[in-house]
Amino acid sequence: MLEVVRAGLATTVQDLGRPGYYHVGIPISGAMDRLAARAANLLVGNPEDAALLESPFMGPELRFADARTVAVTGAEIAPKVNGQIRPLWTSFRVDKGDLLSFDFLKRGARIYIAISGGIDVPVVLGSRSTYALGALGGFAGRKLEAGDVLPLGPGAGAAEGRTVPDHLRRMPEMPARLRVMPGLYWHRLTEEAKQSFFEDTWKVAPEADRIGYRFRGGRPLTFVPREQPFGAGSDPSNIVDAAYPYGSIQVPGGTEPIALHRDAVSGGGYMMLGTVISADMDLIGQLQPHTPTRFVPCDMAEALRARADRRKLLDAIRAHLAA
Amino acid sequence: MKIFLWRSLFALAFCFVAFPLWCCKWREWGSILGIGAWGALSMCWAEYKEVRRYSAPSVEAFLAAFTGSPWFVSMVGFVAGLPFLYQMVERKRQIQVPKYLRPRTDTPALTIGFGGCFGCIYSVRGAGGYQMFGITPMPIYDPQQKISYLQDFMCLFRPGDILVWKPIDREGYDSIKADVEAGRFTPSMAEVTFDLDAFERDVDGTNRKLLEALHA
Repeated sequence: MLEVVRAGLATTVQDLGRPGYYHVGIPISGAMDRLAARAANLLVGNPEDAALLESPFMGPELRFADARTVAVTGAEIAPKVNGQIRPLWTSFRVDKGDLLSFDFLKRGARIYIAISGGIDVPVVLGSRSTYALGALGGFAGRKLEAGDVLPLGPGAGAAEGRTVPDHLRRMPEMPARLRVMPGLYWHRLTEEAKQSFFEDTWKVAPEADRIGYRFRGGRPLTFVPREQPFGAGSDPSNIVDAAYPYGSIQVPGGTEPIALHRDAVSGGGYMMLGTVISADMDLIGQLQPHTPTRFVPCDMAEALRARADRRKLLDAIRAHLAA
Repeated sequence: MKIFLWRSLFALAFCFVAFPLWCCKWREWGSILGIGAWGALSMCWAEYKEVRRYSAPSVEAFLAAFTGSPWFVSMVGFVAGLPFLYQMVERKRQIQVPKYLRPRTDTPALTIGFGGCFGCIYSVRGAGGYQMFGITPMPIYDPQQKISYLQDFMCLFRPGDILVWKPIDREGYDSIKADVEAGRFTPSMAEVTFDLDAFERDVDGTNRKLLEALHA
């Protein structure tokens, strides 16, 4: 058992998600930075898809009812056991009654707290992930609150001191670079807008959460004039409602691009200019509000290479920790 | 496919108006009682006027058109279980309204929305870009699966289902809400076969037959 003493801002139980229900509007959910989540689980000796905690911008305070192995990955928010700093991306032991708390955020946006045995909340539609908008899964379908008591699975876990070295960790550059494959409704943009979207440095807006990240600060995007198709709505950024892919970038009114993430809305009536490639989705989860961000054009061949590279990185983490 | 009778409180007729959603946060919309006291002209009213400008000569004509023919579930999504609804009339009789250019960050659960040519029922509280016209007491999504008619699956609608609006008043709203909470409520529903060719040949006649099947 794990007692939540302080919950942090929006700490949720996540695993690798709930595929298979997007067609009825239930998104995949799961860790926004999947690589960090997998690494955290591997460090404590859990299966990679075990449920863990995701905390944006600040950590929670947790009290343990028994001895466990813990690892914290992702953002730079140093963990503390009874006030003593522990290293990030490294397994450490906690004993019965110990208090896990966190220092302040130095870099990145989200930490992943894996605990040996995993968070043993009920599996809903194949996953323990929290989809808070739909009050589904996780702990009572919501973010954690002080006083919650989380069940843990059995497992004393791996040894302490296991670590993922620096070169196997992945965090956004500064400014962040997100590779985007133009597509979908790209043809709706003017040549000028197609250029300015990639030339301008955008900033992450405060409206940035698990559903999507909003960006602002670039030049407004202009649209090729057309007579709007029936049912689309009157603005040139409106389309006849269609499915939204994960990572797709919609631009309501042409002003503020929104990149959908793990708790995406699955469809709607705004044009999408393209999609952040799957290999860079993890990086979005580590962007703080106001982070300068450049979108970088990318084609399918490069997107597939990036995906393969990311898989190699994961394999390298697995190999390192198996050694 | 299935056809459903959907009972809904439309804001205009009963003076329950939604306050502009970006400036207030409700804990729960369930207390619809409180809303009447918040006064009269606001979001929904403004949105009705918007519709008048675009589509219908009067608010009454809009409501008559909105509720006068069935709607087809063309897609389920946006959020869990939300039906996109397409008006089953000839294009020239379909209503079109603008969508929000900056999506709302909040919408009460079970709001009846309308944007472009599509209607919807907001299954959960959250963001939205369609205008808001009313509210229904009948849940369409229940992750706990405690609602009597959502025990097979947590989402009610499937693409291809058909829905008919039934305007209700405040008493009807309260009474259905109480019945739903007590597990006594089941939506009127019938299995039907929809024939696109027959529909295109005779829209009103086909719709009439659908309604007969629903009320049989």
